[in-house]
Amino acid sequence: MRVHAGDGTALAPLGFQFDVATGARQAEHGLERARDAFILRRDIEPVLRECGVPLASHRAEVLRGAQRRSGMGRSHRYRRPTIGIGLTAISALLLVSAVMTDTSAQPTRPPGASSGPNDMPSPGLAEQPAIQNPAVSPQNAPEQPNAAAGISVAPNSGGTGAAAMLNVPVTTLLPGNVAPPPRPANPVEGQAQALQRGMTYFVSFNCVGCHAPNGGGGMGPSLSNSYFLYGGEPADIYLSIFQGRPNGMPAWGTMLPDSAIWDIVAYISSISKEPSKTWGQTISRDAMSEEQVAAEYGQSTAPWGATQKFSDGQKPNRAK
Amino acid sequence: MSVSRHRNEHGWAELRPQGDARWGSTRVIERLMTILPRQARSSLSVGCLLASSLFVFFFCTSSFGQSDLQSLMKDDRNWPMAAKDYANTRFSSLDQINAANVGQLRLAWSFSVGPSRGQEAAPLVVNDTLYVVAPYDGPHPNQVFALDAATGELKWSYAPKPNPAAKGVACCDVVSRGLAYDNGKIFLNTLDNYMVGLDAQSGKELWVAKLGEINLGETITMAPVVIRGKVFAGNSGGEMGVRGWLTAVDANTGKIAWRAYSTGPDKDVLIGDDFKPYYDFMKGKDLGAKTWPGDKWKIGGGTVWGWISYDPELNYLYYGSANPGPWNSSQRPGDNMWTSTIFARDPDTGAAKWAYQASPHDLWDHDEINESLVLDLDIEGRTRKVLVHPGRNGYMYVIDRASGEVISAEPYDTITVYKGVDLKTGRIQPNHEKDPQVGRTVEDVCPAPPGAKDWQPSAWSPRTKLLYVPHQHLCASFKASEVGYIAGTPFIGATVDMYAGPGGHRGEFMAWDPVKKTKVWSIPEHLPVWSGALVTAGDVAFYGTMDRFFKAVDAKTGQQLWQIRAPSGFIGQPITYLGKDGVQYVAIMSGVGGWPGVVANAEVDPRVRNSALGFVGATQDLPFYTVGGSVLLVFALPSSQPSAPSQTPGR
Repeated sequence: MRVHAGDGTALAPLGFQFDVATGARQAEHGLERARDAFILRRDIEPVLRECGVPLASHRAEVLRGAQRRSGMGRSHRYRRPTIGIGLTAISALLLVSAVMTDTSAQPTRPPGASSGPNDMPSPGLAEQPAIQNPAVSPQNAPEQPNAAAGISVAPNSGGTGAAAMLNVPVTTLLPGNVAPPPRPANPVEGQAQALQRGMTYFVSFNCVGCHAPNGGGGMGPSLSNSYFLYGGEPADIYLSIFQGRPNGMPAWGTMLPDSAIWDIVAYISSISKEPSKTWGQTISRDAMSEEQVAAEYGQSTAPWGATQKFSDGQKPNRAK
Repeated sequence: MSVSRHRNEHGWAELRPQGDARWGSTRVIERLMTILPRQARSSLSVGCLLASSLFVFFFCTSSFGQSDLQSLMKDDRNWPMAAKDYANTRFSSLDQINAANVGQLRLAWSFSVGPSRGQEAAPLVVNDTLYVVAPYDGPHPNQVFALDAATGELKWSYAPKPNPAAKGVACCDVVSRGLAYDNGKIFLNTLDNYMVGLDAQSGKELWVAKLGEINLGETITMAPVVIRGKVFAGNSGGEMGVRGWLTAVDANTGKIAWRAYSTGPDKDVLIGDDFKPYYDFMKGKDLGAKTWPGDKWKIGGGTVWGWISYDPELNYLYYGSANPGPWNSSQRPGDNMWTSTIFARDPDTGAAKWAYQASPHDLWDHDEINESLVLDLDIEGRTRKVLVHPGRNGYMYVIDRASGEVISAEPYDTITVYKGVDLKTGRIQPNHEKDPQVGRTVEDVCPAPPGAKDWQPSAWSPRTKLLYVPHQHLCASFKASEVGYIAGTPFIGATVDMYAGPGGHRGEFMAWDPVKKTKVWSIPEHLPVWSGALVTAGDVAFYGTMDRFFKAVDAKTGQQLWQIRAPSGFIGQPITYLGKDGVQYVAIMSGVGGWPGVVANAEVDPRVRNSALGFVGATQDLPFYTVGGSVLLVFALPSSQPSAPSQTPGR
């Protein structure tokens, strides 16, 4: 945008950024989660393009995000519709408005990952309404991650920025027999809402397709036990998600904001708390006496809390 | 053999025997094929087929190089393609090993291919050399080995350049179902979507063609098939929002000749004026796009990862397409053509001749990639040229292979989600009581998503006139959910939990009479039977079980004659051949895995029933029997083995 001083002299162009805010009615938690997923998946980008909204490049966005990586612990309240340029309704589910904000004057908003502090998301993923199918065709799919929709991608806590994370090794083997550097903790570890959000994202971003409901594994390794190939501390899991891993794990840092990754890490840390207390694992018919109640009969952030007798490939007795 | 290695700008000729009399005519035809417009080209091939003069016949066969595949498949010293022959019979006329002596079968030699992942590949045997390919894991994924078929001595191996990331988009273990051979070349499909032509003698790389993209979720797991100078491969990834295709690649140059998509407008599906589906519901323009909401056909599945058969007389190739995506059917109202469809095509042009959609708007992941055997059967007093297709949906289809008419479709396993196949309309009848709904758990879905039978191929004996079918016996609970498409990630939308079908057993090896439409005998197995079948003129049928038994049974009665406990469970394809020592060998890969087997060969939790797209519920006890393996086992009768200092290694 070009700005003119009172005397008519043109000043240097100012950088502007559109932030997009959405609103959902109180108590519409399912809608809210669907909306969050929609935003995080950048489904909104094609819409913005269609409306001719200029988009910042993803690279620039990431750089800005990195500069801001401090003191961003507060979540954004979507329930308060903000003033700004209204975009026409892009979906029956969504109310979207765009806010003009001078990037240099105030920090951009953290991601649309959190709901307000007083709202407990309702349990049970099955009840959530349809997530809009992005309908991205294979032909234009590669474009997907290349531009940001003006949605801020910012971390939600201090001390977990890129620099700190770079110090976390992906192995326990350190030359010189030195002590391993400290691993940053998950800023949302164990928080009930973070676990719920993490469970939602685990489904919305198709983690569930590879790692299976409750993290039993399949295309990808299981997350339902204490063994993690690339480390099971929150920082290790964070990095495995952010960077991807060479044997098939995609690099989600290109798509997900930090806060969403930490939410997923919190969820994974929770579902991996298997009841076994042994160091190793005995595999035999006698040793494996229990299985989880299957996910189609209800899902929670602590699936090891509902177990039944191991079924040996037969239909479980509990099933009605 | 003296060969010339000549490659001009068309890549016409590589490794041609020198002084071959047909050389001249080959060049003429190949030049014609290059210059003539498509229409003229196809009439040229039709002309070749119809012409009866010896000269023209000679002229025509030579037009596709020195193809020796068809003669090899008639000489049962060899096993030159995964399915043995174009009819996909997996029958061998060898009879040294027979019902009377198979009980003495012993290990002759063995070989490890490296990675201990699912070993679904069929070994090939061509001119005393055995070729086999490893799964996609370890330092040398999809490594190819050439071994002396009688002694097991390693002649060469070839390791494609690895891209381990490909493992992340392979739905159901990192398997390969085998190699292909023709005209002095071995053809390899890699999981990361490359097709490679190798010199069969030396293992030297001749050409490499990239056919797909892992970042769109595509992989290749099927064994390539060579027909009339073209190598065929399709993509896998029906669980990743992939758009399915079958691609023909020039065997000499590695250049793509044509690609037929399974979804989209007619021009992409290669549907033209000569497309004549038998049933009305498949008639119309651009049904591959119109039977989908919006442009969802672009991510609608219909991948091609199973078997290709071929009728040289009609010059039709046959294959089936896979399930539509996502599994949550409410996101794709419509018939979703041409998923779960059997196609007949002209191998030269790709033009579709007829199609039969076995499961319009599939609800349960019931692909139809299973084998279609090319058989001539006496049905109601006349000889019918048919395809016999054991459907994933649980029906044994007998289909007129010229027209696509379904002659019969009888259930061969427990079916609760269909009420039958209407032979007038051709449409399968869903049981609407079981219709899935988002958020509702439907129990006792039989057959379960892998169907009554998955990829594991059956065998046909012209002696007993029976089809030997390895298959599973599973039901499932199925809960649909909404899913969003993100390229290169799973696109499923269902929580599945499988378990044993009625009776408690989870697999069966059966003999089926396709004329009488009855099961002649059956061997229940407590785990799914995920290995292929083999039957021989010794009237012995072979198959393997996931709990490490390789078994021989009487082809007439089903009585078990022999078994051996192996290093790992079986999901491979048994073959037989004659060594240069005159000994009949039987070979199969041992190494459990595949969709039902990742619970035993990978880091998958047997206590979480929904793991591996729900298959773990049905095979959660598999780790009590086996872990992964990597060993090719080759068996022979002890009396027929040449005396060697160390008999029967491994005992």
